[in-house]
Amino acid sequence: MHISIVASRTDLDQALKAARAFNPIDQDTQLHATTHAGLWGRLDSVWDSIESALRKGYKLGAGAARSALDSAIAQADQLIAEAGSLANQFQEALLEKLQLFVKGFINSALQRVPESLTIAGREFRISKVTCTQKMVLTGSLEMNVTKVFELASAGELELAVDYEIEGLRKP
Amino acid sequence: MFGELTADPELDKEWQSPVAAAINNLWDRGLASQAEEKKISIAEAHRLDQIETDALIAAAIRKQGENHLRTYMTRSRHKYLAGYMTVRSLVSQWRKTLAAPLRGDQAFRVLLHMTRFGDFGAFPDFGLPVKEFEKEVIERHVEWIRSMANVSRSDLEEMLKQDQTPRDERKPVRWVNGSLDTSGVEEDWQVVKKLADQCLSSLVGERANVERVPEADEICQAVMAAVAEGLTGKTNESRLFQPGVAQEVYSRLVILPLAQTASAFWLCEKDRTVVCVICSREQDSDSGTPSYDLLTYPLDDEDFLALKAKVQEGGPRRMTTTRVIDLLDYQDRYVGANFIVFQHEDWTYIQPRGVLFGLSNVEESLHDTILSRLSPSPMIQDLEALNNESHPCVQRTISWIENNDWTNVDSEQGWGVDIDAWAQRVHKLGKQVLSVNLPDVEKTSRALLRFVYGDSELAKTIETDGFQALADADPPMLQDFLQALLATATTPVNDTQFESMNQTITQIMGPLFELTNNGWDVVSPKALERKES
Repeated sequence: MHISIVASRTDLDQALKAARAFNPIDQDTQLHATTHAGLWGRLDSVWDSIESALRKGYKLGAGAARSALDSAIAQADQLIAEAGSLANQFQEALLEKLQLFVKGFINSALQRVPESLTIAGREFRISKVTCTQKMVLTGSLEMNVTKVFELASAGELELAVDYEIEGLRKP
Repeated sequence: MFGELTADPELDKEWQSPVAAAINNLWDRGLASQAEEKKISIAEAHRLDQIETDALIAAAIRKQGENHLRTYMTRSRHKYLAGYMTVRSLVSQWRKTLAAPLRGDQAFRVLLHMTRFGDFGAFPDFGLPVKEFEKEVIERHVEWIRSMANVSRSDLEEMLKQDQTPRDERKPVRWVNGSLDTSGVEEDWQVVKKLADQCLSSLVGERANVERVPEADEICQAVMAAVAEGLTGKTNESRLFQPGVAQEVYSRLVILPLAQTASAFWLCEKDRTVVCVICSREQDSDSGTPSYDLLTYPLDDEDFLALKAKVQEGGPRRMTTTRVIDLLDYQDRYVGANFIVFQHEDWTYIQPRGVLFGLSNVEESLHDTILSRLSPSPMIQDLEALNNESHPCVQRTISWIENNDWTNVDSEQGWGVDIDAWAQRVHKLGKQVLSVNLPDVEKTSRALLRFVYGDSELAKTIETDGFQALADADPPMLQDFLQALLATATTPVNDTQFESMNQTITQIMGPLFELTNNGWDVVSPKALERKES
């Protein structure tokens, strides 16, 4: 059967926490000081703006949060443009955060799929879950941010869940 | 870090911070040629140049400060957070002591001076057993910071007055027992000898508690006790580390080498000039390709012929080129002054750089100090080789332990003893020295945070997660907090917006700011409050 899981605030918070925890730092140096401290600080500010857009999208819906999304994408693009030889590294870091967000969001939401259903006094237990919501993450930062924003703004996850009992499958 | 983010050179046009001076001099341009070009005096050219460079540095601080602070307080917080908040708390305390909104650049002068020209109060006895030493080193450090926080108003005012005193009237001042000593007292190198003597008395007699190796059995303990007893009869006084040697070793450290390269060079006989090609960057951040500078400089006959003779004798085909900064600001020496040192075996030519570019004269004592830094005597070379960052002595000890059997060591009495527990203990300590030793950094951070925030939940939260709770509550809140932190570093803040933001921050984390007579500021050390109460 097809079901929609409505994402809770907890799902969003946990996914954001997982993404925020990913903090790579440039260690390829023998210097005592932190190198590129300014750029890393900006990267975190950019993530703040993406996070704000995701929160706003979840709370108010995609339409109301569109300008926050556009602003976040513009900030990300500007950072990448100014990062010089570190551009790839920063783009990867943001993409990694987005992927962690998606993973955290889905995993958290899946926890609320009912383990069993009781119909006519018989218990059907979960046997298979398929995420029917298509989500393609590419190398494009703008596209990824937009896709993830749409996921958070929709606030629900579409799943196909199979339940069965003693060889009987419930449609 | 406080200086980097706060010592905005535009805040005081009469004083140039050492940081600004060092940065300013990384850019080579001659004041004499500027003056000639603009038909103004060299003094005027210097004034205009300083205005221009101060504006550039100030703009960089304003543009990048917030981003830098964010990285230091989040990604690199294990290294920087506790120290930075301690410094901020000290500055807040000084503002209270002075009953005035001491600016960030002024506070930086005092902080830098206290760090450079203090006594050895923060140093524990170097001969203490390891456990006691570990404990004492943190306690002494915190006590030293406490003495900084308790500095009197008159000492702070006297310190700030020093910068307005004409250079030729300034006296060397230093901090002794938490007070400013203005009697012109010179560096006491005898103290260094005392520290060296303490090192030699480590693990001697009663200082060598056999309980320090919990796994040691009675036989092993007996051997340890016998060794400690045997060392008691020795004279535990340093013969090498006498005051004269200490002065020779440490005085040269006021020269800071920035970069070094081997460069190809050519001699132009006709013009008596040397032409050098320097690889100034291995990799440009944008293009990824190296970049080169072509340096040409004239020599007087004597220098030129000496170098020519070296080349004709078949000396190296490249010369060592080093850029250095002078960190001394006294009499004819100016902090931040840059020089490029060209060395070909024992031939040396030092060229002023930065704003002094184009001048040829290098003051004699400076010349000697630079040489001592870059081409030290064999004794200093030995000391540096033995004490460098890869810790060769520790590595040798580890290797010695690993390559021998300590379970049956010949007692030279016809029987063997098992002292493996002792050997493994030393091995473990050696490994600890070679590691980054994060637990020690964490212990120190904990002590500093307790000094600032007391023994509170807030101190524990910051120690564990930094200011992450602010970002968890609302991402822009962390950025707002960092902006407030940066703003109050320059001067206490007076505005209603700050008040409402502070309320939210306090609800989420606890009291990070307080309202003082000068305005909103970072909380002053709770450790002082406790002592007073």
